[in-house]
Amino acid sequence: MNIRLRHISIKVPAWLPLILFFFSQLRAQVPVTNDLDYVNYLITNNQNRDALFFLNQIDTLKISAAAKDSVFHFYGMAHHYLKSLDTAASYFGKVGGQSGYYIKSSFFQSLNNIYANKLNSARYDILKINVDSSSVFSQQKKLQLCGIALLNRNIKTADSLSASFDYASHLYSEEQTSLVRLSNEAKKINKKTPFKAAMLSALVPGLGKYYAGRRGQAVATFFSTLGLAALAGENLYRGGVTSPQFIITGSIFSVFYFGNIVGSAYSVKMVKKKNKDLADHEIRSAVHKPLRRIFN
Amino acid sequence: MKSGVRYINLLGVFLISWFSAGATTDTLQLAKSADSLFRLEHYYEAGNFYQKASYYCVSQKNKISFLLQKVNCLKQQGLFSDAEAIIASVNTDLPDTLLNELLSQGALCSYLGSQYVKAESYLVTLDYKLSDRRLMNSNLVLYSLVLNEQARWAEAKEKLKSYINNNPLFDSVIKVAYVDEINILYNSGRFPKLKNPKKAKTMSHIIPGLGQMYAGYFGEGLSSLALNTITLAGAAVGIYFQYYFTSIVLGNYFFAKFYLGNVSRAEFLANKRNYLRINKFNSELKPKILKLYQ
Repeated sequence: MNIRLRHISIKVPAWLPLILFFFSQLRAQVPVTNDLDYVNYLITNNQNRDALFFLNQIDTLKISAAAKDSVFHFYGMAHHYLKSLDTAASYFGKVGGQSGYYIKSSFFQSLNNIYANKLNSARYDILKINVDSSSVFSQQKKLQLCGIALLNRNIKTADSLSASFDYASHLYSEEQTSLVRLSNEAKKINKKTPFKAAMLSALVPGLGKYYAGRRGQAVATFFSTLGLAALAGENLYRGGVTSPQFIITGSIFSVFYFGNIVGSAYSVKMVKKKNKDLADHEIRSAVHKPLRRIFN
Repeated sequence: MKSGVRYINLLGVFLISWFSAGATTDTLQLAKSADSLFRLEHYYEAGNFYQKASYYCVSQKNKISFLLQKVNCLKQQGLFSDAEAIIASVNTDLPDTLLNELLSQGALCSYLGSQYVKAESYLVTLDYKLSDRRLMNSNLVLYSLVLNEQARWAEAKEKLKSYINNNPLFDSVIKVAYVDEINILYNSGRFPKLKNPKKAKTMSHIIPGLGQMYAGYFGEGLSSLALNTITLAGAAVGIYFQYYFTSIVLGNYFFAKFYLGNVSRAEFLANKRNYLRINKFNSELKPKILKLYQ
């Protein structure tokens, strides 16, 4: 058999395609479960890219439905640890209801959607799971739904879900307590407004920052503005209103003074955002930790 | 024409290795495929197959041997800390020969990854655990390189002398010649004079710029001294002309910046000077030491 590459002609034995076909068929003959054991070992050892390397070599068209579900589950786990949230959620979603990995996959699908901030999908992923009401999965389901409600700042729903927490197992009791605490904290509405902070800073430099909760910055702002005011005042006294030294120092003082007013208003916004992000982080980890304990 | 045939051959070997090793658990087949991929410089794929071979392998000796091949693949990719992590994950309750192979590779990976303290800890463990002292001798050259990087030249010298004296390949004349060479290389008069960063910091606290000068950066020290003096002089002139607040506020602001900056800069420059001197001295030593090992 001759193969022509532009002007090059190469003699290749006619049986070479047959040999290649034979080797390619080897992949189908080896039971995939062995390979999945190894993939599981790699994921446990945090070698997730290597796990994906071996998963990519499994031809999902040539394996049973059960094996395919397991492959999808491991794809999901590897992507979950690599923080490819959407890809992980999509693979977990492919695991069929008959699979032994179905419940774990559904919980992790929801978790990845929570981290990806797709809260509606996360809620749907949890609601589709049917579990025995006396099992740990049922409590985890309530915990996860409560977490999603809190992330949506839907306190009423969160409270109704947390009312049925049983605090019975060390696997989740601590996180159930945390979610109830976070729900109570969310009820205390932060009434601080950027306008009020700006007004306070106009009155006394730094007071707006103190009001926003940044006490160190408030003290630093107060003294630096005071220093600049003294500097501008001295130059006004010595040189007069039209003197260049007063124009320079007065301008510096004005920039600091008005900048501080704007900065105080911005501080209130930043502090509110920071508190919300902290609370969201706590909610997500309260949902995540029991999952690791239950399924490890 | 020849390159075309070679290309087709390499492609064939790659495809056969890839397909045959894909989902198999036969360690021999996995190792063969990994060897072929390694020869083709597909280090990532080869490393994966070596590790899989190690996982399914029953014999402890082969297990370690395959893992070391994986380590080699990672080294080829420049992933020294990953290679070291593989070695750190292995249980070291092993016979002497395997333990020596494993931990010396751990030390080498750490050394190549500039983790000198970790490299030393591998060598200390090896020194403690090996009952066959002859095996430890082969690691003493690496030990001396690790100590050199930590500026512990006197200890490095002793390791090299021990390596020469206990090496059965050297006859007595060569031994004497090599020991003499080591004595010349490691003559304490040749050691780089290192600066004390704390001393540089204190000096700059007392007189701004003095620490930089001590570290060997005379120009920088002088400019730092000038900058601090000008700031203080400016403040003094301001006070003289009765611009009290202006002098105090601006003088305090700029002097604090320049003065504190000058102190931390002096410490940084002393460390930089030490780093450069150690590197220069060690880069002169390294080829001469490695010549002993060949």
